[in-house]
Amino acid sequence: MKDNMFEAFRTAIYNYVYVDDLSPRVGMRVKDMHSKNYYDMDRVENLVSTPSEEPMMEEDDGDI
Amino acid sequence: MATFDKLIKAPIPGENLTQDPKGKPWHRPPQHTNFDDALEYLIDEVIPEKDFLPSVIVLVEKNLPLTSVVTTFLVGQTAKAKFSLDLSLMLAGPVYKMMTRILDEFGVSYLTGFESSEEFKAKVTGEDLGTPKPKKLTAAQEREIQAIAEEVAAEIPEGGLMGAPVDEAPVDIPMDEETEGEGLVPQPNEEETA
Repeated sequence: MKDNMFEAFRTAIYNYVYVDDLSPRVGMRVKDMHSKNYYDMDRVENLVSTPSEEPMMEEDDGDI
Repeated sequence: MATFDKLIKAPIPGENLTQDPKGKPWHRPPQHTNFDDALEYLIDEVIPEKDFLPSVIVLVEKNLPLTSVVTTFLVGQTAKAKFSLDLSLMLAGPVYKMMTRILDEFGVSYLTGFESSEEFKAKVTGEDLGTPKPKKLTAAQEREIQAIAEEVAAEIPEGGLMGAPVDEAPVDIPMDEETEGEGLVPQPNEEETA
């Protein structure tokens, strides 16, 4: 197994992106680490809002 | 001549030892020590730069994995003393997540960095892997599977306590005349309680 900075970055990214696929103990550790910050996993997920995810506003015809 | 000019401008061996070690940015304390401050700095000042996203798109379109792009970007920020290397390891996940969403929105196909060798090769060569076809069994393999199934079916014992159930008449268990008609739990007689 490689033990260098680049592998550490790759592991850190994998643990964050695929946190649900990790073992419960490791996944809980990753979630706890990020939940202590203001920008936790949920807030980071909603940082980049895409037009396809924005709710469609219904047009009111307006009854006269 | 260009090579000779480069040789003249090259540093003298040992020249680095004569320079002040604190002159480099990475020898100074980092600017951001808090995770939230560092992420806000990246979101507000670095990612919106006009050259940042085009550079990332060019790199991922040249089949550079996104993990490598994010790593190089964060190490570069560490070299500028924006945050420490430990903080950049924490920032790697969120930055990668944001980049994937931005690239998905632009419709750019990219290598995640977690592909298998086959997927990597297919992406680089542009070949379509498609869905894997089910492998056909040979005649010998089918005969072997059938023989094993027959052996398993033949070995199942029938009858007895441990065997498979067999359709038989229920067995009458003999009981004493005194306790006949009673269940397992003896009930008190009405004459005794009265």
